[in-house]
Amino acid sequence: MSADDRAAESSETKAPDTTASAVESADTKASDVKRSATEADDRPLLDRLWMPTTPALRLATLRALVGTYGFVYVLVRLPHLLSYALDDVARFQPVGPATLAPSPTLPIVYQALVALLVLTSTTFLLGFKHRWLAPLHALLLTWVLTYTNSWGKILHTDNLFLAHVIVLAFAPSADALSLDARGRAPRDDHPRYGWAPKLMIALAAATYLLAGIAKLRNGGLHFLGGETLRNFVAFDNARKIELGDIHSPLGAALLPYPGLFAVLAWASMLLELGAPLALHRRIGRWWSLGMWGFHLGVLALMAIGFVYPLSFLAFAACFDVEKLWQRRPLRKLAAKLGVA
Amino acid sequence: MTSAERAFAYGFSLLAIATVLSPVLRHPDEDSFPLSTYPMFSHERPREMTMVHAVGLDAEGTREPLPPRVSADTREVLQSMRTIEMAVHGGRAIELCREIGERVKAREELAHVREVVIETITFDAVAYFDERPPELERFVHARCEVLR
Repeated sequence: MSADDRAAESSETKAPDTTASAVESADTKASDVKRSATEADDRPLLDRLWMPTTPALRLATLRALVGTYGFVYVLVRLPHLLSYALDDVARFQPVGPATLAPSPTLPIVYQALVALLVLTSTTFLLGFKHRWLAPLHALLLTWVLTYTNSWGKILHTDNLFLAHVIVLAFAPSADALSLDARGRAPRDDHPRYGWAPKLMIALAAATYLLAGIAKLRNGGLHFLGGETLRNFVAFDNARKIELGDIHSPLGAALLPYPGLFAVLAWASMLLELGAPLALHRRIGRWWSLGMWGFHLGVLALMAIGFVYPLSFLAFAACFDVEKLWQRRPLRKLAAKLGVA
Repeated sequence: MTSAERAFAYGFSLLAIATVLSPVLRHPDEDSFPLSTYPMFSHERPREMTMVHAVGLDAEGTREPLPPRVSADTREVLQSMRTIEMAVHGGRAIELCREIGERVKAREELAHVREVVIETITFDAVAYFDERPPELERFVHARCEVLR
């Protein structure tokens, strides 16, 4: 057994705090933090970069944030999700994992899976039996979202949300702020809580990088001229009007200013191709603000709402989200949840 | 951190990143879900635009685009367009037209609609927003009366 293994084991088996041992526990905790810091210094560079010593509460807060988003999203989109309980073979064009199914799922089975997804969204949010139910939730979410994209048109609004749920489902994200952690001693800051936030950032960066690469591969540097972007804004808004949907009057009003679209094209390309730099802590924070601004721009000019990035949760892993609990509006809730 | 935890963290991370980046090996237009090449906005977009849609006509012949709920029984605007496209390409435009007519009939706010038309329109997307936009070029695939 390595020194790391022994340290981890001792951290796992630590007894719950009691009033009598509170002072001793506080001392132990302080020395554990010091020990963790020393251990972190001794670890190989890659370990320190990819698995920095991180509070369990940060990862748990990310689970709570993404879980809340998912819970609300599934409930709000329930009529939409259920509208795909179809057996119309002519319209079925399976993609991704849905290609494993030769024909549409029986509507009653699909409805049951969606109902189960509502249930697992709740357990994921609450951190209940996380080790077993969270991977099941990730699997169900993958199937249901893939299935809804298997009817002829692929939407790109849920990819990153799904990727983040999968990461959080397989990470120890219910070691705090969860039903599973109720009555347990608080976990020390530890490298095991560090890799998942890094991976969430990496996956966000990867999706934007792919979008930048697709622009270069399909259109070359032509995109940077701004004309393509302007035509897209015009095209998308005209299409929305002709399909009886809401369009963006602002996008239409800016069409006479082509120079503005060139600036926007450069900015979006730089943000997309520069996405891997987001793994650097400080750059990542600025990048996430830039990407958020990019999505606000898309919403304002084209009335296209990528809800997950717009909610900023897609970039939450770039920040010390556990500090949210120290903010005034959340202090009372934090005290109730035992994370104060 | 145990060596098993460390191995899992690295293995899982590598697998996840490689999987998400794997579409880069495909043709950029080979889109899928949940692994996408994110091809939206990546092609050069000419100003001329062709699309298929469903419109309602009132007694004066004024055209009114029908919303996705009516045209394709969906909330998703792009999904509605795809449904109409598939019906047109599959030779089922007239059947879809009648289905839309039934949905129009069930909606009070569309009581003025007398006919449903499924058509392909071609136009200059930028000039579309001019003060005096040019006429749209139309090709009608199906036309049906709303039977009330």
